Amino acid sequence: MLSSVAVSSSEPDGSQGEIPPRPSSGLEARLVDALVARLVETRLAEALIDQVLRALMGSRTLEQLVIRLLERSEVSAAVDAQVDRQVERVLRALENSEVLRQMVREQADAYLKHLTQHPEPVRQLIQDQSRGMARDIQESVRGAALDADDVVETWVHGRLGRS
Amino acid sequence: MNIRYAGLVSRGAARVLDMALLAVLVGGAGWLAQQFLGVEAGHCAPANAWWQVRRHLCQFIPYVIPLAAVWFPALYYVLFWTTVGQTPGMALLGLRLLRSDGGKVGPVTALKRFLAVTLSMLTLGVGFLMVLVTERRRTLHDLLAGTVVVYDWDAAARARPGRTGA
Repeated sequence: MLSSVAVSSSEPDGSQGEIPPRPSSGLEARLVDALVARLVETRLAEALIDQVLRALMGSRTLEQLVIRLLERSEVSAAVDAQVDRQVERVLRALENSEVLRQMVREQADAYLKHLTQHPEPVRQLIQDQSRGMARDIQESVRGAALDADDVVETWVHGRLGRS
Repeated sequence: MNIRYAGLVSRGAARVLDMALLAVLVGGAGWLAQQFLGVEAGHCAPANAWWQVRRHLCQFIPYVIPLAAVWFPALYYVLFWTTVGQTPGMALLGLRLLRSDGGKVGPVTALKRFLAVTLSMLTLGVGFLMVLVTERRRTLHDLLAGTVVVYDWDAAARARPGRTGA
């Protein structure tokens, strides 16, 4: 409650002093709460939060701070553990999700239906791949034979003492 | 374009492939002929009223098969050399047969070369090995028929320099 927060301030003589919280009436506190609740609901508050978040995201200082924090092994380990836990939780939830299963089944059915209706691109793809493989094999056979030609000839010329 | 003349290994591999293909073709043709003519265990099947002709043809088999074994390879090589300039084995290895002046091989040259190959075989392979020591990597049958075998793919782009011609 904003109205009942103790505020620290400096005295005119320089000494630190504690200002005692003002005694708030129940009506005042309720009014402030209602105002804050109202403010949060308004578009103005939404825009304000958005701007603050944007400023934080764009902030080099925050970035540096996060990097420095992550460099600390205990923080990094904690973050890793948290991420692992969350990922595990999400994966387990997905694994047991009937909705997801249904979605995958529907998508697979749709893909299969599409493939049976349009088999030409798939056939073309397989043909291209087979042709590419055959070309690769042919090129490697030719290259190996060519190298062997040169090696044998060089060896024979060496034995015969020819250049 | 730089022409590179084909060496012993490429040419040998192409010949082995062609011989394997020829063996399959001759063997397959022989088997089909025997099935058609009803040869069983080396003997012609007994004739019946409808298959008199078949029986007569069957009696020619002992003469036809050796002849086919000679003529079929001749036909195979001459046809491929004159029409596309390469046999299937040569095509796989990327080789092409040309006249020594670079022209296309005609039927007479092709037949001459086929017969000269027999001569290279009779020299116990020395005719083939001549490819290692002759100008433009030519075998005995190449020299006799006036032909050369070149790489039909971009072999000149490969790093190792072989014997080339302009």
